[in-house]
Amino acid sequence: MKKTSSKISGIAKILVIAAVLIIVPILSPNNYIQQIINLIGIYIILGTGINILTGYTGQLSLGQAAFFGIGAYTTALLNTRLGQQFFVCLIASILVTSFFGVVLAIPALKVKGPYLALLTQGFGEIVRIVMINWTPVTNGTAGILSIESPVIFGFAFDTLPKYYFLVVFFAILGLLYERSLINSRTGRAFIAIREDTDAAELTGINVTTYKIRAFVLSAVYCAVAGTLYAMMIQYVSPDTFISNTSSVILWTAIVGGFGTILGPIIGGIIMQVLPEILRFCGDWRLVVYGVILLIVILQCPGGLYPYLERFLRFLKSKVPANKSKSAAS
Amino acid sequence: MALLEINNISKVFGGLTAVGDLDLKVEETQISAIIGPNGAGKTTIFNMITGAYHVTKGTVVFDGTVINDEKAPNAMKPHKIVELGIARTFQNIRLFKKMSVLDNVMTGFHSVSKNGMFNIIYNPAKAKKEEEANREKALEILRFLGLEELKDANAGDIPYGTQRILEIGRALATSPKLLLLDEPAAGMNKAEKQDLIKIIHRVREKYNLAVLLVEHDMELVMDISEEITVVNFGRRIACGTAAEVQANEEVIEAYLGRSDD
Repeated sequence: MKKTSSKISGIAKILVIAAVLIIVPILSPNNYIQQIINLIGIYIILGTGINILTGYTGQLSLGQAAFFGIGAYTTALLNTRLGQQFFVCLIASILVTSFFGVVLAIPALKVKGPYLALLTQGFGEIVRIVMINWTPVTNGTAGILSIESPVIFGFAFDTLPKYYFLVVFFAILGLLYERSLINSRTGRAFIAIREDTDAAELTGINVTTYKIRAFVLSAVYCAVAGTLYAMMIQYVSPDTFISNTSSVILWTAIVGGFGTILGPIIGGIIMQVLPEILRFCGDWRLVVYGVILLIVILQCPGGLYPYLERFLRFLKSKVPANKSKSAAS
Repeated sequence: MALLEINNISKVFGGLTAVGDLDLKVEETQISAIIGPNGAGKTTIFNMITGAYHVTKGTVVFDGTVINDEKAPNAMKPHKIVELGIARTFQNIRLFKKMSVLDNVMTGFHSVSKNGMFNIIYNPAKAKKEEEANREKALEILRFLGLEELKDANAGDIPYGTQRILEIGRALATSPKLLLLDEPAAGMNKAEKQDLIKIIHRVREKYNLAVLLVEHDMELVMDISEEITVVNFGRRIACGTAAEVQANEEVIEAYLGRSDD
């Protein structure tokens, strides 16, 4: 009995979420806002990737924009030079970015804390400088123009509202995979490494390979986000994949709540929407933005998701109480 | 052949000999102890058994496998040694503090289970089955140690003495043949120490394993150990039963000092 009722409430939840997700593009008044919404989805994917690496495995990365950029450039090049379509671009991006995930992981195994932060930041800078200076391939600061929008099984995702569904699909897929991974043997190994690396090794976990896996996984999330970004904006340039982008990716996970599965959703929304809302501040916009973020991490060091969870639990505790009251009367 | 054979090992840090020419044997299902004054090299010995340190000289052989050899460039990787069947606890408790008590034990099953990053997608039913089986086994260990009620608590939130027992539980999950306990009674009160003695005996009986402990609490060591190795300045000065060790001149000297007058 209880099982069926929880199953029904589970289905109800999924239906509500699906309804909200379908209504969003109908309600969005123009392409400008739709693009921000699509970017939220892309940043949720990026935030989920860094959440696995930093939030769960404890390996700080300030170079996620490099993976994001490698993914976007791989797609851009394959599409514009070789005319490859979405899936080929996506898989190639994943493979290339995974390779660089291993490349970064190998030196990263030897350092931790601030040194790891510097190392990953340096990696980000190297990739950005290569993007600018390897002109024959990357077209330098001018970037790569006229990337085609994807056509999947005959359906063209050629407008932003249509593209929204593609982004949502991959964001949900990424979150679902993260959830089942974190609650599995691999997830426990990641968390054990974060909590105490030596104790993890002495509990039988091959710390070396699991750290590499975490780097590669976060790189794969960046590759998916990079492909989606390149085919949505239809243009890539080195300006997008700067260290500021790495910070935004990191903040997406921090503001939402490191080591929480749904945290990057909240982080993604806040990090994309807040600077837009603050446009009325004019020149002071970024100052106010920074101050608000500082207040958030000082007041909620565990991110916002735990607060949301507590609020939802509070609501839940109210609901059955009302029911029993009405039954008694 | 003994389960663990330490043959003439030395560990030199810079110019300092932490452990010198030490021999030690642990038989199957034997409870034995290493004792010695502070800085005698006891924890260094543990670190050479678990692969954290490479020996400067000598060999460590476990269950017929050489795990640490002066001729090899490195010691065997610690997680490989865990797979062979050596588990340890730590002097300063090192649990995964933000994981639940149950998850701490389940992490111990890492080396004996197979689920990976991909089969949770393409074969979720099988992956779930393994996960469920491990959860059952973990609960059995918690029940055995009397920690079942705490299974959902954060490991960092439970009482200190209980955390030490949980560390033993996590170690047991790796299905060891040899359990190394590094000062298991540190910070425990008298009642907890009595419980610990009982638990060590029950663990040995149920899991059929050998126990090697480093401990400062003499009462506990003398009570529980079938063989005691005394080290001082990294060298073995005596080895035998509690009674033999207590009667040894050199041991008395190491602990109480020499009377010159």
